[in-house]
Amino acid sequence: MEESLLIIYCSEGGRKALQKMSSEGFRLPSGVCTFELPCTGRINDVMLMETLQNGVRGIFVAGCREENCKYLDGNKRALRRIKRIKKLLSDAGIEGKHIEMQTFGPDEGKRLYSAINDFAGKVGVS
Amino acid sequence: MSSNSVCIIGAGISGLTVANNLVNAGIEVTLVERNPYPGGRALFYGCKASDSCVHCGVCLIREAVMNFRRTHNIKSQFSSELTGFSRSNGEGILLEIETHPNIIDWRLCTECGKCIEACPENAVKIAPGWKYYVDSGCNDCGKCVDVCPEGAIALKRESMRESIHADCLVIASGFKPFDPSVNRKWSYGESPRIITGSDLEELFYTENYLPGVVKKSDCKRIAFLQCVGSRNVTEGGEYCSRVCCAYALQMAGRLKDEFPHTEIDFYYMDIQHFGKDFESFFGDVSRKVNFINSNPITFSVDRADRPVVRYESITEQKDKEEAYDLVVLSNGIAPGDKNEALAKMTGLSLDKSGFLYAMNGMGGVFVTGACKQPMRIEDCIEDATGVTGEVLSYLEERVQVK
Amino acid sequence: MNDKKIVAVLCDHGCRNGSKIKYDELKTNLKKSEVIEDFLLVNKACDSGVEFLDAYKGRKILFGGCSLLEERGIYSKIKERLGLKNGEFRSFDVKADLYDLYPDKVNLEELLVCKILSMGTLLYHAEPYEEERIKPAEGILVYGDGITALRTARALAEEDISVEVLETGEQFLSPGLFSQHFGRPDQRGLSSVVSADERRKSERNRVAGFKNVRFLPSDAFLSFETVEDGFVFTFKSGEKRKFGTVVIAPEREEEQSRETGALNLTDLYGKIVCGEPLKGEVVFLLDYAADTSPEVFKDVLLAGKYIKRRFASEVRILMKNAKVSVSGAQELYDECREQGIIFFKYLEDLTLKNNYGDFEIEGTDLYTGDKFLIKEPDILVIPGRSILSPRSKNFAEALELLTISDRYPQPDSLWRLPNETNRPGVFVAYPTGDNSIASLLFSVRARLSTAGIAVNEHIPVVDEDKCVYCLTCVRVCPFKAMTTDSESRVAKVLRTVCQGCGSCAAECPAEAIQLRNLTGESLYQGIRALG
Ligand SMILES: Cc1cc2nc3c(=O)[nH]c(=O)nc-3n(C[C@H](O)[C@H](O)[C@H](O)COP(=O)(O)OP(=O)(O)OC[C@H]3O[C@@H](n4cnc5c(N)ncnc54)[C@H](O)[C@@H]3O)c2cc1C
Ligand code: SF4
Ligand code: SF4
Ligand code: SF4
Ligand code: SF4
Ligand code: SF4
Repeated sequence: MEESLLIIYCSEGGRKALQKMSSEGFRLPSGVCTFELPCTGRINDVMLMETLQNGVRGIFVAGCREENCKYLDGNKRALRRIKRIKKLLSDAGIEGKHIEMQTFGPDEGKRLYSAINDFAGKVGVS
Repeated sequence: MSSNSVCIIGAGISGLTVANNLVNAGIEVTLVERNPYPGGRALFYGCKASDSCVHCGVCLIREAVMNFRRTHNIKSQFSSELTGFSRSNGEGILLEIETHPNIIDWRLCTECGKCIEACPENAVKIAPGWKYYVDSGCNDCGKCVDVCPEGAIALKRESMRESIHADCLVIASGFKPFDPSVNRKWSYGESPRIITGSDLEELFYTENYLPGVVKKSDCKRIAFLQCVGSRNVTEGGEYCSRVCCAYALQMAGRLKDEFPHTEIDFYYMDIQHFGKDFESFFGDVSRKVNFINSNPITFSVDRADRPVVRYESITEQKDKEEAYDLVVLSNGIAPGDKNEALAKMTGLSLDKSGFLYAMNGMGGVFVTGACKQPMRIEDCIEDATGVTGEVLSYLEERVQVK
Repeated sequence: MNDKKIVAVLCDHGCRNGSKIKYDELKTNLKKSEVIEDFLLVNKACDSGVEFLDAYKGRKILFGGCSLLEERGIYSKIKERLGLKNGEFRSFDVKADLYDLYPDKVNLEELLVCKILSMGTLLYHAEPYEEERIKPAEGILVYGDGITALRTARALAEEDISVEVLETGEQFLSPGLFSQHFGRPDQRGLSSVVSADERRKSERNRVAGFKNVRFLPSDAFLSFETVEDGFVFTFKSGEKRKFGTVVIAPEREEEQSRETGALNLTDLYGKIVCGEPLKGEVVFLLDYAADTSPEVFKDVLLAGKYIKRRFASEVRILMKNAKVSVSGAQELYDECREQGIIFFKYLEDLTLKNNYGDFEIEGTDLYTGDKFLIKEPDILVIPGRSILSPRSKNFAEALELLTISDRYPQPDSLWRLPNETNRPGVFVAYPTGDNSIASLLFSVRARLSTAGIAVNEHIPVVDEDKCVYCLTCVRVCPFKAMTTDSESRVAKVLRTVCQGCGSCAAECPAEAIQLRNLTGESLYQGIRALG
C-alpha cells in the first residue's frame, strides 16, 4: 500500500494510550495499520528498513514514557537506535522523517492522536 | 486441605493487589466494592509525566484493573458494602454483604456503547479501563434497557443481602479526599477557578489540564496551595497527608510543560520527600515553579471573577495580594467515612485521627492501604503485598492447628 | 519450522455499531494466503461453548473476539479442550485493537484481512512448546546482620530453608536503629538504644540456634556467577556454593560531617550511649549539606527531645523544611515545639563559620524575616545523608545491581516492588513502608513457591553458528540474563532470568538471537502482511 503508515506500539504504555485514544472517540486515519510488540526495545534497523522497503510510507513508534519501561530501558535504547537510523537515512539521501518514535503515558490518548496525525501529515498520508 | 477463602473490602489498588496475590497462591477470594467499578479513588487520576515519567503510580492502577479483568477466578461484588460481621465459633468469620443494584451487569456488557448514546440524562459513564456503569442522575426512563443488545441492563431498585463465610477479612477501604468546602476559608465552590487537587487529577485524566472556564491562551498565573486539610487540627487532620506535595509538584511540572508561558506559584509549609530520586526531581521542578513559603490567610474573588490570594510575604514583610487564573487546593487524605462503622463492626480501633489501627492477624482481620494511614500508590502496593504474606501465614497456621 | 496451518476464528457478535462485514469476501481473501487454512465465524463466542472447535483438533487456532472471552476464561477452555500448547494458540481483541480504532466508514474487510494475516503469520512461525517451570536452587544467602537481615533469616529458617548469613561482625549504631526504638513513647533515651542493640544480639542468638543457618564473615566472599537456577558464590576459602536466592539487607551509615568539630547523628548517639552530658546549647543544622529525609528528621526530633528532657539543655533545630511525612512525625514535631525546642526555618543566605570547632551560624529567619546569629554553640550536629556502607555498595555492585548514587542499591521502578531488583532472584531490604519486611518475605516465598519460575514465552534462542561472541547481548540485557559459555564461545541465556524484552535480539550485530515465537522473520512477515 503506497499510502500506508505503520504504528508500532508496545504492550504497556503504547497500548494503554491507544486504548485511551479510542475510548475518547478519536479514530485513526484509514491508511494506518498497527502492530504490537512486547517492548519497543525489540525494534532495530533491519526491522525498520525491511518495513520501509516494503512500501510503507512511515513508521511511528509509540513506547512508554522514559523511566517507566517495564524492561528498564527498552524505550530509551529504542529512542537512541531510531535517532541513529534517522541519521543514517538522511546520510543516505532518504529523509529521516519517515521514522519517528515518541513516548506516552497511559492516559495520553489525545496526545497520541495528534502525534499520529502530525506524523501522517509530515509523510503525506491523509 | 479445605480451600481457604478470604474476603476483601475495597477494590482500590490495595485491595486489588491483595486479591491478585492471593488468587495466585490458590486462595478463594471474594472482593466487595462499594463502587460499580474497581480501581478505587485513583482510577480517575491522570498521568503526570513531564519530559519523562515522574513515577506518580497511576500506571499501576491501570495495570491492576487490566489484570483484574483478565483474572476470571476472583469472585467480585460491586456496589456492595459490608453490613454485618460475626464470628462463627472457631470456624472463621460470617459476613453480611449488602448489594445495591448494579444497573449494568458488567459480566454481560460488551462495551458496545449504545447505552451511553441512548441515555438522555448522561447518567451512563465509563470507568477507565473498565466498562460502563450508571451513575446518579438516572431517572428510570429505561431507554438504555431497550437498546442494550446483551440484556445487561436492568432497572431494578431493591438491594440484596447475602451472608458469606470467610477465613479472613482484609479491609482495604481506603480514604476520602479532604473536602475543603467544609471551611469557608478556602472559598471552594465560590468560583470555578478554585479547584482541588482531586479535580485537577480528573482534568489530567481527560487531558484538559485546565477547567473549562480557564482558557489556555489567557491562563497566565496558577497557584498551588499545599496542606489543605492537613497538618492543622483546626482545619483538618493533624498529620501530614504525604501525597499532596508529590502529586502537586508533579502536576505543576507537567502544567508548566503544557503551558510554558504560565507562571506557577507554589504556596507551601514544608516540601516533603518522596521517592528515591527526589533530589533530581525537585531540582527540575524548582526551575519551573516559584516557591512561596507561606500559608495564605484569606481568599476572595475579584471583579473579573479571578481568585485573589492574600498572604504574608516574608521577603517584603507585609501582607500581599495576588490574583490568579486558577487556584489549586492540594487537598490531602482524610479517613474514610466508613472507618468508624467498620471498626465498630470488626472490633478494630481507630487512631486519634480516625484511621484504622492495624493489629494485623488478630482474629483474622487485616488492614491495609490508605485506610490505615496516608500512603501513596506505590506504598499501598508494598503494604498490600506484605499483608498478603501475613494472611497466607495466618491461613497456614490455622490449617496446622486444625 | 512448524507447518501446521491456521484456523482463524472470528466472533461475529457485532459488539460494535452497525459493523456489517462481508464475511464471504473476507473468507476468500484469507484463503488465498498460505498460512490460513480455514476461516470460521461464530456468533457470541462468549456464550456458545467451545465444542464447535472439536473438528479442528491438531490445527493452530487464531481467535479474534472481545475482552469478554478473556474475562470468562473462554480462551483457556479452548486451549484445554483442544490440547493446544503454547505457540499453537493466539488471540486478539478485535474490538479494542481493530474496530474501535477506525472510523465507521473504513473498509473493515481489508483491515480485518490484514490483521488476521499478520497475527496468523506470527502464529504460523511460532514453535509449540510446553510451559516450563524451573525451581530455583535451594538455599538462601542473606547479606548483612542488622535486625532486618536477622529477622528475614529467622523467618526463612523457621520454614526449614537453609540460610547462610554473611555478617560483618561489626557493631555500629545506625541511625535506623535509634529511631526504630527511640520512637516508642514508653521507651526513651539511653536504655532503648542499648536495648535495641541487645535485641539484635538476642535475635542473632536465636537465629544461630537453627541447625540450618550458617554465619559467614562478609569478607569471605570472593566472586559470583549466575547459573540457571541461582547464583554460585566462590568464597576465599575456595569453597563454592550455590544459592537460589539472595537477600541483601544493606548496612547503612551516615556520611561524615565535613565541618571538623561538628557531630553527625551517629556521633551524637555515641555520646548518648557513653553517657556524656550534653549540656548547654545544642544546635541541629538540617538541610545544610543535603536535604534531610523524613526518617532523619524524625531521628533529630527524638534526639532533641531526649536531650532537652534529660539535660535540660537548650535545643535549637535549624532547617529549611520540616520533613514530617512518616508516621508520627507531625505529632512529634508539635510535641517538641510544646516542650520548648526552638525551631528556625532559615532562608538561603545562611552562613556557617568554623573557627577550629567554634561555630558561628548566621542567617535569616523565614517567619520573622529577622537575622539571627548563633555563636559558639556547645554542640553542633549536622546530620549526614544515610548512605550505603562501602562494603554493602561493593557487594551490590559485584552483583551488578543498578546501584544509583551511593544511597540506594536500586533506582525507583514502578514495575517492581521496592525489594525487587533488576536481577530476578536478588532482593534488597529497603525500609520504606511499615510492612517492608513482610513484603520482602512475601517476595522471597513467592520465588520459592512449589511451581517454580516460569520460562518466558519470548525467551531468546542463540544461533551458535552465527554468534561471534561479541558480548553485545551480555552488555545490553537489562536483567543480566545473558551469560557466556567460555568453552564453546557463544552467548547463553539464563532461562529463569530472561523477561523476554527483545533488546538482545535487536542489538545483536550478527543477528544470532531470535526470540521464541517472535523471531525476526516472523516479525518482518507479520508486518509485511499488514501492507
Ligand atoms: C488528590 C489526590 C491525589 C493523589 N495523587 C496521587 C498520585 O499522583 N500518586 C500516588 O501514588 N498517590 C496519589 N494519591 C494517593 C492515592 O489516591 C492513594 O494512595 C490510593 O488511592 C489508596 O488506595 P487504596 O486502595 O488504599 O484506597 P482507595 O483508592 O480509596 O480504594 C478503596 C476502595 O474501597 C471502597 N470502599 C470503601 N469503603 C467500603 C466499604 N465499606 N465497603 C465496600 N467497599 C468500600 C471504595 O469505594 C474504594 O474503591 C492521591 C490522593 C489524593 C487525595
Ligand atoms: S507519570 Fe505516572 S502515569 Fe505517567 S507514565 Fe509515569 S507513572 Fe505512569
Ligand atoms: S448497551 Fe449494554 S452491552 Fe452495550 S455498553 Fe451498554 S450495557 Fe454494555
Ligand atoms: S505532603 Fe506536603 S502538602 Fe501534603 S500535608 Fe504533607 S506537607 Fe502538606
Ligand atoms: S550479541 Fe549476538 S553475536 Fe554477540 S555474543 Fe550475543 S549472540 Fe553472540
Ligand atoms: S530478551 Fe531481554 S531479558 Fe531476555 S535475554 Fe534478551 S535482553 Fe535479556
